[in-house]
Formats: sequence, C-alpha cells, structure tokens
Amino acid sequence: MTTTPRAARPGTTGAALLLGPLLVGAAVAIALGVYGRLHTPTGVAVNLAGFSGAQAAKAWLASVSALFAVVQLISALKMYGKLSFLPTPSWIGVVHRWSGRIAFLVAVPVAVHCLYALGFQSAEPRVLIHSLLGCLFFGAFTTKMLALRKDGLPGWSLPLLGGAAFTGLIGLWLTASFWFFSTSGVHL
Amino acid sequence: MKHLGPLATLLAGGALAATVGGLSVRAASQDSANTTAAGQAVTAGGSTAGTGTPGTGNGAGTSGATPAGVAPSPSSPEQGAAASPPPNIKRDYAGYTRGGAATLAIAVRGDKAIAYLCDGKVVESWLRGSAAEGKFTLSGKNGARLTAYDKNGKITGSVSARGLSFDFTVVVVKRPSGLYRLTAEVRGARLDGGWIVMPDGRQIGVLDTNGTPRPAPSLNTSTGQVNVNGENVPAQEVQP
Repeated sequence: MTTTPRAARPGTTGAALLLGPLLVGAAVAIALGVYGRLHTPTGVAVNLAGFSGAQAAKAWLASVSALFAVVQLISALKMYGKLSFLPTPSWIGVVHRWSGRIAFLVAVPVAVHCLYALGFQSAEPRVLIHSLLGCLFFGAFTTKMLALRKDGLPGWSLPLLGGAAFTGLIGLWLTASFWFFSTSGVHL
Repeated sequence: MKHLGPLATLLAGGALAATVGGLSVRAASQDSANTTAAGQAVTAGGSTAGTGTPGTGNGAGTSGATPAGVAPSPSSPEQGAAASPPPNIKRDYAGYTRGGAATLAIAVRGDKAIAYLCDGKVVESWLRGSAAEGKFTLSGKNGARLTAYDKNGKITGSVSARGLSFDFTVVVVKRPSGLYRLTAEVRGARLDGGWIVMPDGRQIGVLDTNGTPRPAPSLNTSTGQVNVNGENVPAQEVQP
C-alpha cells in the first residue's frame, strides 16, 4: 500500500480523500465480524409483534430494505443521467437520500438480531457468504456516508461505494430472505 | 460544519442498533430463565409439553402460529396425509422404528431428502439422498442405507446403520415437530447434535462432543437454542 501524505492536508482533492472513510468503514466491517465470531450466540433477541417468529420478521424487514435498495439504484442511475428515457424530477435527490436512510434503518434491527442471536457462522456456504456480506454492507455503507461529506472526490467514488452497498444488501437478501421464503413458504 | 445529513444517518443507525441490542439482551436473559422451565416440562414426558411451552412470555419463538397445527395426541397422525403439498416446500416426517427401539425423521424438499436415525443414547446416523418420484434412496457414513417408498403420504421402508437394521413407517409432522441439527464449535469443543421432535413434544437426540456421543440436552423449539454446559447454542431446522 502506498502512503498518501496529501490526505492529511485540507483542501486536497482526489482519491486520497477516500482514505479516512475507507479506514473507518473497514474498521466497522472487521469489528462486526470479530464481534459476531467471538461472542457466543444467544439464539434469542427481541422480536416484533405480528410475525410468526424472528426469522419471518427478519425476512420481511430485509425485504423492505431490499425494496428501498432498488429505489436507491434507480434514483442513483437517474441522478447520474442514465435512464434518459425517463423524466428527471427535481426531487430525485430527496428520494435517493430518504430511500437510503429507510433501507439502512430497517436493516439495522435485522443485523442486530443476526449478530446477537446467531453470530458470524461459516458452517455452510450460504451462511458464510451471508456473514461476509453483512460485514461488507455495513462497512461499505459507513464508508459511503463518510465519503459523502467530502468535496472533490473522484467521480467514480460514490457510484463504486453505493454499488458495493447495494450489492451487499441484495446479496444478504438472497442468502437469507429469499432462502427463507423458498424453504418455509411466503408467510408473515 | 457541512454535509451533516450522512453523519446523522449513521448516528441514527448506531442509536437504533444500541436500542434493539439492549432490548435483545433483556429478551435473552428472560428467555434463559424460561428455557430451564421448558426443558423440565419436556423431559417430564407430559403429553402436552411440546404444545404448551412455546408461547410462554417472550415472543422470540419461531412457533407462535403453529401450536394449533400440532397433532394433539400420538394417535392422530393417521389422518396426516396431506394432499400433494407444493414440491419446493420442506416436509418433515417422523416416527418410531418398528418395535420402538429408535426414532427416524426425514426432511424432504423436492427430490432431495435428509434422514436422521437416533435412539436418544448413542446410536445415530445421518443419511442424505434422493426422494424422486416417491422412492427414497439415502446413504450415510459407515455404509448406512435407507430405502423407502411414499405410500399415501406416509414413508415406509427400512434403514440400516452400524450393523443394526430397522423397519419403519414415518408420517408428516408439523412445526415445531421435525428434525433439527446443531453444528458448532464452542470453546474448542466440536459439537454435532441431532434432535427429532415428535408430535407429542418428546425429543430424541444425541449430541456428539469431539466425536463422543451422549444423550442430547433438550432443545427449546420456540427459540431453536440448546443449553450446552451453560452456553446457549443455536440449532437449525434441517433443510435438504
């Protein structure tokens, strides 16, 4: 890894500005993984009323989150001038910010349940991939939130970080909610 | 300060995580108090133990909606032949082998099946294989074999493992009855356990610790967790 002395200086532009957010994001991802691995899973966490069980509640919450993640993808494409066949409303930025916040905040209780009740597991490929993606998603999201506060980033940084977060979240949904609905049936 | 929005989002997420985490710590500590009581009820052999306990207090279970679907007594599975359920949904079958020396559970999804033969003391065998067109052909370690046929919603056949051979007929059971497995490593000990939960709530299981089998501690079917030497370890429903 090359050192980037310009990162410390205020007013710099370019990829070096990403270093701080990347380090914090990596720390978040690693901390989640280490906590999930070292702490003994309890098998129990707080549950939501109205669902048949914690698994069902998580599967539906994660589906809501994934739905807003799709809104994220479409609104981001729109903001970057893709999908030019659709009109660009003036409030597209508001849609992007709030769908992201909702997707993140809805995913948080799911992640807490995963980490606290189940932990980081590697017994089978699906579970290992899910555990890794969980760390990736929250790391990428943290990095992106911190990167948003910087001016002068390279143009590719936000699409890259947003894409990583989106990929993580959709992968999480596929390895858990989709698996749950296809094995247990679609029910509340 | 500029661009405060993203930071506020992160902090809100952190605060939410702390709140849910705090509630979870409380739920877990309440549950460990309940687990002891539930475990005693199951091992006491009361015929309603399996249906009565899941609802107690905390709502953390996976079985909140199921008690109504649980067969009320061992005599009723005769009528359990469900008319062709969707092929991709998992079905669980369970029953005693002829003579009652052991129990067998089979989890089936599509044309795949996983079976577990267990006497609740030391004999246990996991088998895996095909369930295509109503014919079951499964095999396991050390030459274990199972062949069986689906007849009117019941699975009838024979299974051999560790030099013993058993005839059996198993019937459809509903959650929380079914087949569960625990594989984990806790403080350096390799744990591998299997549980068959019968429609009357009785549990038959063996837990291997570093390869040494012994009768399994009771599984809390509402939380999916097992108390192994004071540690709560989650078990999973077996998914073919």
